[in-house]
Amino acid sequence: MGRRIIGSHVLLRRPWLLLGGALICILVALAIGAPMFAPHDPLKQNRDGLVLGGAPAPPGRRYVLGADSRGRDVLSRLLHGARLSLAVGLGGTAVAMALALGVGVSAGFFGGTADRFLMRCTDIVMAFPAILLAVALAAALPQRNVVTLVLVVGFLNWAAPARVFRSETLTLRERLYVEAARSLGAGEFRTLVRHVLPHLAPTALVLARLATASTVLLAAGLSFLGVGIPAPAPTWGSMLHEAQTWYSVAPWLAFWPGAAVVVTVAAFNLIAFDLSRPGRAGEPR
Amino acid sequence: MTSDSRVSWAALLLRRLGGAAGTLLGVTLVTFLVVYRLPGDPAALLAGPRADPEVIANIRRELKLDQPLPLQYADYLVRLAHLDLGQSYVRREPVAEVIRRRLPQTLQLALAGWLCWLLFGTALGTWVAARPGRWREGALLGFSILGVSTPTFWVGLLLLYLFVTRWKLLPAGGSGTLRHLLLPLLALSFAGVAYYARVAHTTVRDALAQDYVRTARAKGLSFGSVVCRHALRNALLPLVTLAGADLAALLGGVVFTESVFDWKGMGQLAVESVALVDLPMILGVVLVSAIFVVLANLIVDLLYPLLDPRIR
Repeated sequence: MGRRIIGSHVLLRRPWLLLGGALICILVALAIGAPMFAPHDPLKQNRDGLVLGGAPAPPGRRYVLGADSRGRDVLSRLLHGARLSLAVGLGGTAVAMALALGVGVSAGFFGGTADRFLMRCTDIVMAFPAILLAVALAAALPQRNVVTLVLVVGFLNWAAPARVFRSETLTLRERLYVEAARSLGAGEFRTLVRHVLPHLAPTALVLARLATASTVLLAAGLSFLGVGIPAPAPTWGSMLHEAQTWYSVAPWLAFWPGAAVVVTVAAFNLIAFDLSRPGRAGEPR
Repeated sequence: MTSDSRVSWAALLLRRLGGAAGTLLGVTLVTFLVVYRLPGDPAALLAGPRADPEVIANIRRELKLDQPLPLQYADYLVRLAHLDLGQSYVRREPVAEVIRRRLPQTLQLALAGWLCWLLFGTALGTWVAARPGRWREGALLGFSILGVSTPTFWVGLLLLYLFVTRWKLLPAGGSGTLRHLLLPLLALSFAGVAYYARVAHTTVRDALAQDYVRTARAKGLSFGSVVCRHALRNALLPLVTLAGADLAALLGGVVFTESVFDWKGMGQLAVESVALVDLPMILGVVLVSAIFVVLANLIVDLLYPLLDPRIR
């Protein structure tokens, strides 16, 4: 019986994947189209965004989700924040996955001393509570911007996936077809690139989704603690940081950016969850 | 224990001790490099803005920053061995002293949160595993994904708004009484309970499918007693290992909760120190929490074969 991989009936039987995928598509569309969709300039401090007495204007006709303590439109900041969040999340994931693949595959494939050394390195990185080390690194860096944040967030998320890649490589290395390729005279490099790496793709897909969930959370957390991308850049984390002083008078400032983080992270987690269930993606059918 | 297994346990002990020592060495190397080698001159920072170049040079000599890197690192290690984490750039106090003052607060919060995770998470997961059903399992899955996707600080802010501003039931910050602990605990528990519930659900469900459970049922034991005495007991092992490592990680992980509720703990100390560019203080906190993690992992590794004789 022929199986269609991407058929509507298959997707409908996988509601979690469908939900996660749809959410991510919407988020990406909103992030790309942010300048078009945003009703106001996210950085502009509007006088009418503040009510008499200087408190932020509540949600209304002009500011749909309200304004913040400087009279900036919350909805516009949220939309532009989606760009930064996704950029940092995906960038951090790229860094983490590149490191994880490099370390994990070479440890598993070459074994011996290299393996012991590299695994010790993952032990060391994993001994640090991620958020604390991130705070320390962010504080120690001479300047903070999107690039440094991507590097910090990526650097803190490579160790766990590296371990998974290592153990996968260890089992792949012993497979018969790898043995066969070797005995046919394939060199180390060719065996690695042609016969081991392609089989890591399904695992990499799941791990990348999980990593994105954790990089987005970590980036938001760093901004919340005040060590993310500096103001006035509209990031969800820094919006929550500012909301700390205003939540009692202007709860909408705290609600929306947090909800945006939850939806984004949950979308990636949903996909990773669906793909990692036994018998789903990657299993030879 | 037979003498044979005692010997292999001793071998395991030695191997694990060696591994932990290696990891600790690496951890100190990382913290050393961040404090002393990243761009930004610690001597200039310590001297303060607009300091005399001569003063900076003096401080550099005092901190031995003018010596070769390996020597500096060796010096750093010797100081660490004397429990000297350096001098705060800002507070004019030894870092170790300040951390020692703040540690009990963090311990209290982390321990309470950890107990909540274990108790409520395991209870919830076991309940769903014992009474499976499409909706119950779907709800648990939804809750667990939502839980691990929700930032603790957001839960904290929402709780503050609801319980403090709207309903005026609880105090906003501070510590000391149970009433102060309640909100931070709720915020901290949300993600952890969701996570543990899912792990407990999976392990208990798998245990219930085992043959010994069917045997116990066939012998006439009640379902409740099978769940509690047979399935849960076997499912606890992976939970305990997970929990051991998590307790240590929590010491660093309660940063957000401390920050939202102005809980004067160790994590809050690190965050406060960021604005002051007080690197030794931040790295002191980082180092202390990393040491906890390494020690906890070591203990879990050593306990594991004692709890489960099949594993060596």
